[in-house]
Amino acid sequence: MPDAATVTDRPETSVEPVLQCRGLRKAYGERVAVADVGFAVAPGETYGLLGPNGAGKTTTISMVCGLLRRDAGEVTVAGRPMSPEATDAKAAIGLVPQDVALYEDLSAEENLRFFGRLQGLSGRELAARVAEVLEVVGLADRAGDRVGEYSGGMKRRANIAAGLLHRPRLLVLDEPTVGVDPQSRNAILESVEALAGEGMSVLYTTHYMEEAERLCDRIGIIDEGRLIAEGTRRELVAQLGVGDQVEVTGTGDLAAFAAACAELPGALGAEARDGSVVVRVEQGSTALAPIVAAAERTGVAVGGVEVTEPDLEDVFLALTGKALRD
Amino acid sequence: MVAPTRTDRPTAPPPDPARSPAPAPGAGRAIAALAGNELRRAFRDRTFLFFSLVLPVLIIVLIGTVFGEDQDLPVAVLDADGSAASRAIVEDLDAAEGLQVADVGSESDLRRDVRTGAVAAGVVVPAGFADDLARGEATIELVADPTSSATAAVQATVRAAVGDHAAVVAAARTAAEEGGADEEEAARTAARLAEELPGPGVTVTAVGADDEPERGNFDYTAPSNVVLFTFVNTVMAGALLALDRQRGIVRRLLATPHGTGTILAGIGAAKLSIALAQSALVLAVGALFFDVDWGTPVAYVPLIVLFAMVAAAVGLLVGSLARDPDQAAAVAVPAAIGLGMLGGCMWPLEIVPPVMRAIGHVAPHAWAMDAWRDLVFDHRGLGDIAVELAVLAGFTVVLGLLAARQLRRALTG
Repeated sequence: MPDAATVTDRPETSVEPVLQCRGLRKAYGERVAVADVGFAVAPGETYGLLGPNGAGKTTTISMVCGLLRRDAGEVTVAGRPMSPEATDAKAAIGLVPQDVALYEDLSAEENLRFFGRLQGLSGRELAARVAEVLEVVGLADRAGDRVGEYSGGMKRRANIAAGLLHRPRLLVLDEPTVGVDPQSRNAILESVEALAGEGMSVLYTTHYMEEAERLCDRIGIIDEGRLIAEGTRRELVAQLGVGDQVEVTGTGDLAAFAAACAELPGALGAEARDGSVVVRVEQGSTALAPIVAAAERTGVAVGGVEVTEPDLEDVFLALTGKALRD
Repeated sequence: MVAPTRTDRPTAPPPDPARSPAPAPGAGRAIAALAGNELRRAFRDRTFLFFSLVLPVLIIVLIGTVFGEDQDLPVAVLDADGSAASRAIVEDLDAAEGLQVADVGSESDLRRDVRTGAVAAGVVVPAGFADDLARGEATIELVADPTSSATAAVQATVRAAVGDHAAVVAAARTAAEEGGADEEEAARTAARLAEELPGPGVTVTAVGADDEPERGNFDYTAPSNVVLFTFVNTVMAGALLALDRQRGIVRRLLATPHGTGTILAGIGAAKLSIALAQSALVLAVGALFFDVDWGTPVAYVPLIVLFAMVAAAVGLLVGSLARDPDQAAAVAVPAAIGLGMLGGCMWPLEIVPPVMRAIGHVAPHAWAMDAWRDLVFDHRGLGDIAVELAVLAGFTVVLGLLAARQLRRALTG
């Protein structure tokens, strides 16, 4: 496991980060929910906090958003220190809570108008922003319906809309796809991608590895309240040191073929199995041609080739000894 | 529903990375937005409208009608004598205040009516009554349920009527025996004099009957229901804070650009607005439809506001202490009704023992009811309810601080 202190020091960008956290700590009695967590989100960056349920993701973003008093550490948002009383720092954040935090007896439009007023919007600007975010999340045609009548996915999208009203510098999404159907989930992910594509900084918590891989420029892996690794997907996978896996099915002298592959540049190891050879290489895409050439040299007739890259699930397993969804 | 694809999705204007965060809107606007939103939701909620407006009015009407009207006691009378003296007795009973006399044909009918509760009591004037009266031995039978509270009232009225006639007969007999007058003539003279001459100088004055304004049927029930329902509904609205906490709405509120104190004040103002709306509704209905004179606004407005603040503080305390909405409701409703009973909203504290009256003043309701009695019964002014207002202000401060402290702890850790 890498030293947490090393990952907290990582992102040193030339531009001022939209969000900077250092040494965050929160304990409830004897139980430490978050310990020495630090990371930064650059302008326009989508940063993912990936970890299982109970890892400390929600506690972390509660401190990021000024909802929770931290025991130690610092948070600055758009250069302003964050606390429960820091109104200017809060103005830069749009929070999308894990729960659908809307009044079910009001329509989506009424909810948005209400939260928009609390963000300081009024009059024509408020009306325009409400209409705009309803379009963004694809609910304009159902704006007058009570939120309680919405499907789970529509509620989630309305929930996101409420976080966008004031054009925040940093959009914080706390597990926005939990409990929604695949179609709505995809729509939500597309919305986040679109917002990120337009330059909005996003802090995204999830325990779905595939969401983190799809959306996030950089990912912090959090477990038991500690940030245990951080980087781009490729950087995280590289930390494993296991490389990609190339599996070649074929006939012939598979043992000789495996021995030849093990000698190739960039090869980390090779093993003959029943009807196939599994080769571990630093990068699968560049190793394919030498592997096929080795097959020809050893007289193996290739039936098929499959390249498998390790994913964040493998990273998490390697770092913690347990699966992400445990 | 077809989810829009990325290509057809309208795009939101991107944030300007260079710009500073927008200045936070004023606390006053935020508090007004929170209160306005709460009222909008409340007045759209049929359940709330029923419990806050329809039910209080129904109870005011029901209790005011049942206990507010003066009702005559129905009494069955059997005149088995048929003499002038017995008819006079029946006429006197008929004219007596508080009795509604109905003739019956037989003693068995009379006993049946008493037994079934159709009448409060039965009076039997037996055959030979006139002769017995002349001898000074007349008796009248009163048939009644000895456990009924109406028996004593009927008995007293019958005794008075019979006593009047016995006095006339005794006077006539004395005139005949001592002065040699004709007894029938003496009896007529005695009866006339009994009607014309003033009584023996004993007058009964109900306390306050002369110097107090006349009370309407709803003068007790209307204020007591303002107090009771304002408290119950406001505490319930406060308890719903537990639901807003559970749904994450309070977290979202705290994430808006306002300090915790502003959000707490806004939530408190929202609950207070419910309490004020509830009070105003019942006051308006009481004044418009039940002719309740609430006294001077200079006095009742601060009373309403202070009691509403107490109710809102209790509601917030329950809403911030409860783990979830179910627990909040389970505590809030019995507590609110129990305090209402203790504090004199179900019955006047004047009729309970002094110890219970003192204990009742643990509840803010008792102080509010004391003030309402001064305003509605006695038409007193602001200065006369200063003590009650001061006590309610004390309740507001203590409970409000407790609620704010607990809520702040529950929300921001």
